[in-house]
Amino acid sequence: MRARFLSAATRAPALNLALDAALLEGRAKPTIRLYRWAPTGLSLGRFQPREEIEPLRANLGPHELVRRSTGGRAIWHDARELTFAYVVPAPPRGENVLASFERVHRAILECLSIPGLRFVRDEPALCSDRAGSPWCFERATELCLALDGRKVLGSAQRRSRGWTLHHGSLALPEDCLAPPELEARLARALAQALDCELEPGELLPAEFAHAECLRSTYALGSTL
Amino acid sequence: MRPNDRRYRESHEWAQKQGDVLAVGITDHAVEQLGDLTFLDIKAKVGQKVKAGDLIAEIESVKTVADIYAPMDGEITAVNAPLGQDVEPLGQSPFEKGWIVKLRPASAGAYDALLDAAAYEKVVAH
Repeated sequence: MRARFLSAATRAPALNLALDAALLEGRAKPTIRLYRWAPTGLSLGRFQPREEIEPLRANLGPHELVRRSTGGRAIWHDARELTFAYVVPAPPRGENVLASFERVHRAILECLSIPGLRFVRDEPALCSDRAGSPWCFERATELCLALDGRKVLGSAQRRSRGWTLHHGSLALPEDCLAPPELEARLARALAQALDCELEPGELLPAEFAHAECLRSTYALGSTL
Repeated sequence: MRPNDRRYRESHEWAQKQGDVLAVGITDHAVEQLGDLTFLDIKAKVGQKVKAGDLIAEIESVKTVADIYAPMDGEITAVNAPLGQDVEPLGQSPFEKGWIVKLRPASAGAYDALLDAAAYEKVVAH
């Protein structure tokens, strides 16, 4: 399989999510995106009650509140995070959700090659978990990745009309890898996991226009 | 072999004749793909006219959301609202306890155009 590769770009939270939705709705070609967030975003999972996070927002910095189309819990998307998304005919290899999480996370583990990075299931103790927390990074599952006792990678998916949208949030300490190296290694990991050849590409004007139309669907409010 | 008392779609919904309506659910394969189910949001409303392929529900498992579609044109006659409160019966028994909506088909022939159990087996095995 060949996949269009959209190199890391920084965009506003609602636009980032709208672009992923536009790619999933368009189903034009398998696509892998890396992206960052500015301004800072706070995203809720598709069905996560807003009430879970609303009382906490006043104590957070300025942010845009958005809702992902994928599952899971709330994520604080600041400058530390590198997000990846892939949109591919689904599910790759007919795998179930957990198997696809494991394949992607294993490839990232191998390609990033960061000492101490491991599956949560292999981590002796996780200090970042809090029972009942509304935050994704405080509710690790076995297939998440952890570093120094803290969850640093989580994933979520949406499956629609025979295609899969996979979101992954990678929040490593700043001194792990320089951003260009991190992006290159992450791209290599995704190509390996999906068994595809990456073709550098751009968003089509129609995809961007569709995303602009969808943008308000994902925006829930701003404290900026 | 899956039950042959109903028909299937490639997107992993089943439809079973019950009098003049069809019960609609998702297959065990769909459930296995998603893993532990946590939430079902039935979008379709009683009395709503739907087209084949229209979104009728969204289902969430741990960290994954999947769409569920109408198998054919028709009118929604019932929704299984209790599944919206507790989706576990669907996960445990998708063919017996997992009907999501009931639908009165717009045409009689649409049911026969769906996949029979043998054809669906091939889809899943592919």
